[in-house]
Amino acid sequence: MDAQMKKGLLDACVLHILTKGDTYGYKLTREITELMDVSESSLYPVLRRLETQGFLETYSAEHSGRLRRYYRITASGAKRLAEYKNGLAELKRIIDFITGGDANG
Amino acid sequence: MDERIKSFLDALAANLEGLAEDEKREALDYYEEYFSDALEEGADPGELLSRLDPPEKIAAAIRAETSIRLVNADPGLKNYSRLVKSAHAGITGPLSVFLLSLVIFTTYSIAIILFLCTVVSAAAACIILPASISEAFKIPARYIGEIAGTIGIGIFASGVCLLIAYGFYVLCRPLIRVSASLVYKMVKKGSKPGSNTVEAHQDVSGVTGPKRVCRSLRAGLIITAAGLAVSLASGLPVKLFMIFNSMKPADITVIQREFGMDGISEISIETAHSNIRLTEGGSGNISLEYEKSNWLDFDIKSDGGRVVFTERSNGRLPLFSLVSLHENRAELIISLPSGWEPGSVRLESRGGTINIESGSFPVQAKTYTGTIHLTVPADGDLQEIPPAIRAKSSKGAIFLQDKTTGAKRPYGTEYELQSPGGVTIRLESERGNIVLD
Repeated sequence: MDAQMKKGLLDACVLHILTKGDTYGYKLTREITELMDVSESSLYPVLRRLETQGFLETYSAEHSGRLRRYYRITASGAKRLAEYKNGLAELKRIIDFITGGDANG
Repeated sequence: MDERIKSFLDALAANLEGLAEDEKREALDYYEEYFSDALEEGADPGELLSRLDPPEKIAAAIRAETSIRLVNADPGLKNYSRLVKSAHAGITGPLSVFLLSLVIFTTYSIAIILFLCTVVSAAAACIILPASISEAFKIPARYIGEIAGTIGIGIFASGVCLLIAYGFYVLCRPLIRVSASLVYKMVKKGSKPGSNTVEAHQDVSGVTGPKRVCRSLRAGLIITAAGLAVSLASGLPVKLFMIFNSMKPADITVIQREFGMDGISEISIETAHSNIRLTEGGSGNISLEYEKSNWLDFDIKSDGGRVVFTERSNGRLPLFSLVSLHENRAELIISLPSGWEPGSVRLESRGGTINIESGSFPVQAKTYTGTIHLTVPADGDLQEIPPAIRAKSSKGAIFLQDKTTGAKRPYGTEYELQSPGGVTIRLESERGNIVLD
């Protein structure tokens, strides 16, 4: 997939994963990389930025004798995700149109 | 912990050097935890590392991310140079490095020019205001309008300079913003495909204190407008405008004096910038008709065979040395009885035009920026011998019947007309033209 297109989707993916429950860096990265082909090191800057923009927040919880950092979506993050989804609905129509003839379209 | 992971973290830490301490800590914590979790879930260290960018790239991306955030929050040169530094670390290809250098060089060059413009305009503002105040203090206290007007002009001019300075300063910010987003994009391109996501101009919490800037800007505008209003109310700008455009002053007093020609052999006239006209008139006396402008003082006396006229500033106008470089359309007309031939006539004006409509006696005329016109009247008396003429202008031109004439000399242009008559007219101008008809 086009790198530029992926860029726009990465934020949305992260926020979407977080709506299903709080999670930690490694797990989040694995989920994303199973979905799309991005470098595993690309997640940190995204998380950090989403955090400074107030779309997600972090907290630490103990896990097997050490602290693990968890990410949680905020209200404004949820709002942002909804905006993304609105935008993606249009994209989906276009994709359906382009791939209209295909069985899986 | 695995050696390879340890050295990865060390390299990352080394490459994050110079970043704000908490940003650095945050990133290292993230990766330490990331490795712990990965190993705990049974990942192979070698394979794990292969899925990550090299530490230099990761660090560059983090630095770029952090600095673009700072640039967006405050697009100053300091934050920009931080971003540039991180970009240098993250970009390797020779073409990318060249393009990056080009962008950075252009940005810095423009920024430096803008900065210099800011400094120059601000400095001008700092000079104009005290200069105008000190000029205003030289004006005699009774001309209160001119004093207020001078200070008003100073406030207005320095206000405009400050606003220009502010404009140049403000221009820097969009420049840095645009350039930063370019640099940022290049850094992103340098990493693995899709390895990051931000549009550089994404909404980062508002720029600090636009309200305060607005308020001081408004205050500056109000002060500038007040300065303009005061100076306009004083009428000074109009007066200066008229002088600088050689318009006849609105407010003049005509003064007339006559002197008997007996015993007078010399006439000496000196004006600051009023025009001088020398004619041969009908009356039997030497007559002076002076149109006095209200910013000038004069002195007429007659003693020891001389008639002497001098004109000077009464202190009412600021920057008189500049003002007097422009001719004042108010005129001093000297008419001499026709046929009378004084021993010598000396005419001098700094900025005014000198018109000589006579050729039968020796005249010496001198100006600094004013023009000298010499018209030897052709009154049908062909018997009369034309005068010899010596004209010299350092920076101006000499015209003879609408054509330039004269020989070029190292000090300017010189024109000489010999005549056996014995009467010589000497014309000399520093910067003005000399016109012979």
